[in-house]
Amino acid sequence: MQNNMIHTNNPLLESSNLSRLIRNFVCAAVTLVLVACAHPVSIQATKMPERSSQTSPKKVAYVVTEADRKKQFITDGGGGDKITYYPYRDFERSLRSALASIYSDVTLINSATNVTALRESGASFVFIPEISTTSSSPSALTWPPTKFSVTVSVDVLDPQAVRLARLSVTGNGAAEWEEFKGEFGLAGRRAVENAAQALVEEIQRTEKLR
Amino acid sequence: MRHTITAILLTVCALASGCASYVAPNYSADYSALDPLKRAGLAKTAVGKVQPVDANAKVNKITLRGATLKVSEGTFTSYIERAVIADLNEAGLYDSNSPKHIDILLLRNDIDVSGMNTGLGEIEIDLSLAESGKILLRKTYSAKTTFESSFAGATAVNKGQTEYPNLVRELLATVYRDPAFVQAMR
Repeated sequence: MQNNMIHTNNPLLESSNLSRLIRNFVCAAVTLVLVACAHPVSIQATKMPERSSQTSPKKVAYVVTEADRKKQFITDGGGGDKITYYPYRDFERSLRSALASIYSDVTLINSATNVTALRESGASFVFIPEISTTSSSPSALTWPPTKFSVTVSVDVLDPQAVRLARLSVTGNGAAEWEEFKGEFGLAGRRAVENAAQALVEEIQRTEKLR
Repeated sequence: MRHTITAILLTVCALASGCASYVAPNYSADYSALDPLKRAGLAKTAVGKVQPVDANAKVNKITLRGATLKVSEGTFTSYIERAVIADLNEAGLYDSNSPKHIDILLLRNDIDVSGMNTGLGEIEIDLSLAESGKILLRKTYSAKTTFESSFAGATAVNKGQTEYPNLVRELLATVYRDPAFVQAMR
């Protein structure tokens, strides 16, 4: 308390304190900018699986809940930074397109045990995805990931909630700094596109799901 | 001294946000709002005029702490047009030759990341649904989203960038859940 009173009355000391304050503020700001960053990216696909020439007449449903869509993943970027994203939200369109490329109709339901929704959808199979991811970059100076992997494990149930199959596919994506052009989740997008295509092939290989 | 402080702060802000342009991620629908339209026995619809087409219109420009937010192709109005067409296609309700058509005027379109803690998305459209010259529905729809922002410009700009499809999703889900819209689509 006594020191504060002395500083307030001395213009030189006051100026020195202000300089120190500014220096500390700038250091904190630069540290925040350069170190403490978790950068949000989108990994949503642009390219979707194409509709197969021989689609099944069966209808299917899938389960992605609002809680799933809000699951934020945090994985490594470059330069010691992290990236954040919402893989269920970003993968949902690809999942639907993958299923629509094989089956005649695809419907979202909020739970595999929602009997009413299942009956209304007329679904023969219910797909429940579980997503895990990895990302990395060898760069010490830039944060966007240059390598990305998306693993999609899918439980497939019949309308009575009996498990028919468990599928698992992994899509990998890579991108270099020169390619980003404002799209910093590019490696992730490519991984999602690969995973969706791999899922189509895995479903087609599984006899029980025809 | 005050000028020095201002100069330092501006430098930090410039370093943090950069002058780059950022691309809004692709749109994907709120399928919990879209799927019920498939089973509602609705008529197929075209998408007519989505305006303003002028790339320099205020609603077709979004800046995030000095950085430009763009879409991968065209303007924000064409982004919304593509979103509506994709959704109608997904629901099996799109027919470019249908006499019934949806017209949209974008009234407000902004992502604000100036806040240190919270970002804000705002969008508003005037939507009309008409058939053979008869207006079946004319209504203003809007959506607001809030999201975590950041003091660090680079992070705040990225957050604003990834928020845009959520804002459009929120808006179109509001349209699809509106009983008046569903009724006019019959």
